[in-house]
Amino acid sequence: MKHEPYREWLVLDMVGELGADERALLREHLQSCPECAREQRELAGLHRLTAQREVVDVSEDFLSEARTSARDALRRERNARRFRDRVASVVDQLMPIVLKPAIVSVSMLVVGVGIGHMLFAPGASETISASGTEWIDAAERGEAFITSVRFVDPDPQDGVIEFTFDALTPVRVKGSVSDQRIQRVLAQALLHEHNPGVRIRAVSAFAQSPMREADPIIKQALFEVLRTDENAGVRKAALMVLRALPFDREIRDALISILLRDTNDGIRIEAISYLGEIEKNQMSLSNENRRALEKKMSEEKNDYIRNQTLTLIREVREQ
Amino acid sequence: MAENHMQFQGKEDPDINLIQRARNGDALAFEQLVFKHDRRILSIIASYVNRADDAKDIYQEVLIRVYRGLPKFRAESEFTTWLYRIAANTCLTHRARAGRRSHMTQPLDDEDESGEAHSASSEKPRNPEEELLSTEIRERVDAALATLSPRQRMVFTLKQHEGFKLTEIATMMECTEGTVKRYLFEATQRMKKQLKDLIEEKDESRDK
Repeated sequence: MKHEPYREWLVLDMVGELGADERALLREHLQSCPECAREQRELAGLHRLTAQREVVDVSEDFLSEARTSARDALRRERNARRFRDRVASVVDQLMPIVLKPAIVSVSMLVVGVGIGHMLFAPGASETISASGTEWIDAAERGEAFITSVRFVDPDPQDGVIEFTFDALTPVRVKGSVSDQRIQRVLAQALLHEHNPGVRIRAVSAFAQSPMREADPIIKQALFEVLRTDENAGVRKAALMVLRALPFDREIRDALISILLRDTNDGIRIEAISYLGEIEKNQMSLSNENRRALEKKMSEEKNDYIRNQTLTLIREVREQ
Repeated sequence: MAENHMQFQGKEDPDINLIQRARNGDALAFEQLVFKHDRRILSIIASYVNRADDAKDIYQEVLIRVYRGLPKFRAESEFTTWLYRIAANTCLTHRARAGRRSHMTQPLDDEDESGEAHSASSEKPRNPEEELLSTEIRERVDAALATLSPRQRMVFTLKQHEGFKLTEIATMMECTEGTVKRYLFEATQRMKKQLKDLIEEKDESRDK
């Protein structure tokens, strides 16, 4: 008896991908083909076995760990991209595409000779613009970085060359810590600066700002830091900023999450102490919150936190 | 569920604002964009490799590839479709490159430090004997999966564990639905052969 295409249909049927017409034909065939009927039983047995391979649950903790290590890798990638862009930009302007690798050094020499000739050869025209001079001097003083040199006239034969460049310079900003634009720059620094000292200074600046209502982006940045920043000092500073914000449901959930997951006792103590203000802020605990806290009590090794958690649950129940 | 993620019929991508901001170098927007969808990504990866450390490595590589590729993303498909495709490709190349050790020696369902299992089991064994048997079966299933080719294994796990439709899997793996069916058929036959003794055992015990 011919078993094709029934064997393939049996597999598709097992995963719920067989069309109605084919399924009807398959049923009919199975009644008269013991071999395919056995195959069907074996596939059902396989299905039962593979169902026992536990489906992986990507827990909050697991996701959070993965995000933390990925964030570090992204920081490195961003820095590498900035560097590559600078180099690529200069190389693109200096060399024809085909000969790039071969003539890079020669071209650099030509540029050097050209510039030297321009500056020192007798009769060379001295036509560097005022703004050009200003930036070249600034680069020499280390106050700017010259990049993306593009030749307008690369031929040094006549003693003169012409090019343009981009000058990158650190931007100094002075403004109120309450200014939302400044706060957003700080939020970027908080999430992406590699140096924990910079991250702490960024978050401390938030602490100085009287925030009646936080920008949602800043608030999310603070939550993200509390979940993933590997530096306890940064997390603690972020928690202090949260304390200055109006207590709401998001903050309550973030605090409970810190209490459940943060490994630093001091930060958990801060979190439970702030949670103690739930009543004062006319908030309550959801059933889910309460279950999580009850579980926490059974696992918490710090007596103070355990007692405070118990008090919190008891007080909220009395409400 | 998965179907909604994959359909894109000329409608504006709901992520378009974040995509544009991320393309302009807004790192926060990039994270918001990726973190909207990364739980499913990590789940796909974890089902495929079944090792916590490998899953994290691949997840990291996916994010880097997304970061590098975003400027070239032309929105011809929905962002999530593109994201899933990168995840699938990264899994396949990781496996091909790694091939260095069994993926089954440290399953994700090992207990973590807190004593909590990473995976949720709906059926808990009732006694040590059952538990032993259940563990043995899971190990055999994982070992059988490890004998599949990367593409067979990808199709099998995306279908069996992640519940994607074959057409969605074809989009993710950039091949035809017919090819996906072939991989699924080959994977199933191979698994059946590898686990023949267990299948027969189960069958006999059900007959009794």
